[in-house]
Amino acid sequence: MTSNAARDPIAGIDSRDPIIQIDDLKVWFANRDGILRAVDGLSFDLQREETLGLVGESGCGKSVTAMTMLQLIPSPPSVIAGGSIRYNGADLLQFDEKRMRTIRGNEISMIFQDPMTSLNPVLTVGEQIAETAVLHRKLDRRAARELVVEMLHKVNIPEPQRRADEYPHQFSGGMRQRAMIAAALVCNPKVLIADEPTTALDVTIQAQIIELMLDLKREFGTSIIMITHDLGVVAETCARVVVMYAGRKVEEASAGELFAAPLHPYTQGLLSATPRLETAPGTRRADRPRLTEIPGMVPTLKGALKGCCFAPRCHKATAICRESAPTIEDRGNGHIVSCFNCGSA
Amino acid sequence: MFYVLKRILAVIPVLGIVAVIVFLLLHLSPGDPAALIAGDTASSDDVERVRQLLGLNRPLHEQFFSWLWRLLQGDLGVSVFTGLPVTTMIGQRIEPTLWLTFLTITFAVILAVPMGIVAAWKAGTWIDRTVMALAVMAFSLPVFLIGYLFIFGFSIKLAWLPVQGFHSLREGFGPFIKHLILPALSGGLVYMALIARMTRATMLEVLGEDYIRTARARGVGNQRLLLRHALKNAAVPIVTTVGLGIALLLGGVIITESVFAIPGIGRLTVDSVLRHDYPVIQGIVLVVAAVYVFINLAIDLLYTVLDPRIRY
Amino acid sequence: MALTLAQIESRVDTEGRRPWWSFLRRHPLLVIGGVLLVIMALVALAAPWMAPYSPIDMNVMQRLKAPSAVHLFGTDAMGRDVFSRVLWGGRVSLIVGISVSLLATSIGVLIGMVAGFSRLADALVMRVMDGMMAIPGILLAVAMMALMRASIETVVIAIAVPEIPRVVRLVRSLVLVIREQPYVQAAEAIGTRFHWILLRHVLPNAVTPLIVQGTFISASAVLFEAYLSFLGAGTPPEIPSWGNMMAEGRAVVQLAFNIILFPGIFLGLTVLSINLLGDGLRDMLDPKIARRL
Repeated sequence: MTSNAARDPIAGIDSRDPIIQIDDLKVWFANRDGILRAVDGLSFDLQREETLGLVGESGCGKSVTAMTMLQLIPSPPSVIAGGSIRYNGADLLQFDEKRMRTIRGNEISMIFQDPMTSLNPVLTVGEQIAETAVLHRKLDRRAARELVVEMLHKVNIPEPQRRADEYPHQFSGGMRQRAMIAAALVCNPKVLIADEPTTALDVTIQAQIIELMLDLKREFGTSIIMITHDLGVVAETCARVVVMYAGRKVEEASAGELFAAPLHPYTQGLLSATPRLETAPGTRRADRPRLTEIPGMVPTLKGALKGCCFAPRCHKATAICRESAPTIEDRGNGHIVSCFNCGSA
Repeated sequence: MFYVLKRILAVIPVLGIVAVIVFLLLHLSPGDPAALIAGDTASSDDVERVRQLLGLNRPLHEQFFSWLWRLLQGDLGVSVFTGLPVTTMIGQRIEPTLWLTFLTITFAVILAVPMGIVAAWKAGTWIDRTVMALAVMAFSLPVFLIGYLFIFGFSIKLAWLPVQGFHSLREGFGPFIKHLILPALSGGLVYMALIARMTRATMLEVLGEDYIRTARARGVGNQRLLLRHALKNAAVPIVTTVGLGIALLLGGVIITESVFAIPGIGRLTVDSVLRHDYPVIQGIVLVVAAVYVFINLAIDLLYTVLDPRIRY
Repeated sequence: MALTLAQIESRVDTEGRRPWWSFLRRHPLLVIGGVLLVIMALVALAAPWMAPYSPIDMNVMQRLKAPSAVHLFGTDAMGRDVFSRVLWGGRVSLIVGISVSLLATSIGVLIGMVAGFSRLADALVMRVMDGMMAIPGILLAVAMMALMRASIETVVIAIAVPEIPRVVRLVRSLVLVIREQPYVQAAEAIGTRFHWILLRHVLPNAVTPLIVQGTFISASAVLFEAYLSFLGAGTPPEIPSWGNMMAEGRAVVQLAFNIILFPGIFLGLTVLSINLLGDGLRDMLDPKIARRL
């Protein structure tokens, strides 16, 4: 269990209890072939007004974690095999559907990856944003409309009055993502979960969206969980980072420390796999450094794993790594790692 | 607006093709058309008379154009059996058929769409399986058998509803509706099964879409999700099926009229077939096809209301 | 209803699975439909040996008898044994079902291919198909029967023709989609001959949906034969078919419901089994739909 009291608070955040505490979360899926352990003992906290990055490859369980927070995964075939997710102290996993609905979009909001398909094509953008406000704040139509226009303005959509009555297919991709953000923030939630918000966008739009999110965070004081596999986005936005692999947390640290001195072999591999454009012009192809890769493939998550989940692909793996799961060590400064053989690269 | 115009204009070639098919049918069939129409018991004089009557001795293209010309003026020809204009004969019988068709469609949509929605919502549970099982069974039984079973059950055993016949609306709403409930339900059962299945399949597909997940993540409740978010998206394929299934429905109506002794177009068809009265059959086919085409046109126009993306 | 851990642990089969057992569980529709259909087919085929009486022997002394030990399903208005007629009638229905399906599919495939490969033909063909689909199938079949002498062959033709447009549409859309695939475009680019593309690329992908549709067409055909006979435009009365048995039974429906009921049940079961088989095949061969349930 991660202990937040022992850590140095990051400058600017007061040391009250974290707004979200995930403790030993296990989310498994049952199908005919076996049990898929999508999340297998995950624990981390989200502090108030913090931006936390949740990083890992496709299939490592980050999206499942996020969706589980809002109970968005249908229960067959999924099952919560253990753990808790506490929001302001209350375990969200114990909430019934009715109570959950008061949380979704209101206290905890989520935005998703693909803006092209995340908006309902037969309803106007304004209707979709207003719906959230009307549901949670019981506003009348005129007040809701004003709020919608205001939100569209805040997310930098030009001509918000006209745009509010338009349909998603009349918006560009970047604009749709902004509209999604508007819908997510219209009720001023305390927590925003952003699941790969920029992955489907052009690089230039990406930058705009990220800047928008940071601005809004400052204005509303929202805590953000930024789920991504793009380390560049993490570097720009996150104060702290949790690295996941195969449903487990392998490392956690402040962003600066993670990039400067990663301890877990997987994190080291991720960072060194980032292509660098630093070779001098004119260097012969043979002399250019090879792209490093992490050999092997992500495990299939079926069946209980003996030993460290990364062991099959780890160049530092030793016998003990294959035998038992590594314990979680605190290396100081809030830097947590789960490895028998970690140290500098 | 462009879309609307396009759709309206598209009706013309289809009707044209129907006219050609109907015309050619008579001439492409093996044997002498005049002999076939005159019947097995006709003498060669009778056959000749029929030939003169229907102009079958003239060259094909001449026949076609004169027939087409008369058609455009609303003249569907003359019945070989009764000597009455086909338009008159159809006109006499059309009222019950129209009412029956209208009621059947109404019952079908009102019953089948909610069933499909519920089946999709509870996919995988016994409710879903039951609805789908009922649908397959409805699909598999002949319409007239269903009709007879209904008569047996509701009219003979339970005596809730009359066995057969038709009462015009002018004679009062009660008898009107009582005589039409069983026919509408039995004739429409197959149609209902089709709509229920399509509704379920479309709703399932829509419910798996990202925007439903996003709406749920914003706190939208299940009922609203189903009816406002999902159904509106499923509307277009469902309405399409309602339209395309009309052909099936009209076939069912024809049979049902026979079972319940309703004096509509269906009965006229049956009688005309037995009498080889081809001009009447021809007229009926044209009228029915035209009805189908226009209903589908109305549905195409309805799309612009349902789906904002189809509005160029 | 949320699952508990105990529930999924009991649900999941352990590693060793018995293959044939699980096939049954995974494709129940297919199995039920297939088995039922095979039973019906066997019964129909065995009619000459299973039927206690000749289907056309009339015995006026025994008319309209209720079901009994002597006449399992009773007798009809002309004293013929209903049970034997039902057995023999099955043959007609099955022959019609299979023939219509084969005929409509083969013609439809030819036309559909032409439409898919030639833009000019496509415009013309699709208009004609739209026109054909505007006429309710029964009406078209009835109209055709009014112009032909009644026999099993003409019934097959009359039922097959209205089914052709659906096959054409399917084949045409398949051809168009497959032609757009990168691997076909690549094949065309390197100069592969037309018939080779057809055989190696188009046909294999088209077979599966065609089989499924063919199954549904035969179910429809069996029903249509009954409808045509009911309207007096179907199989000639000398040949017992379920359709004309029910048509004849109309006159005496209040006296002897069994004359309509038994052929009706057999008809319903046969059509149901074909429909289930079709559904099962579709679910098995198209994983995308199967995953939904």
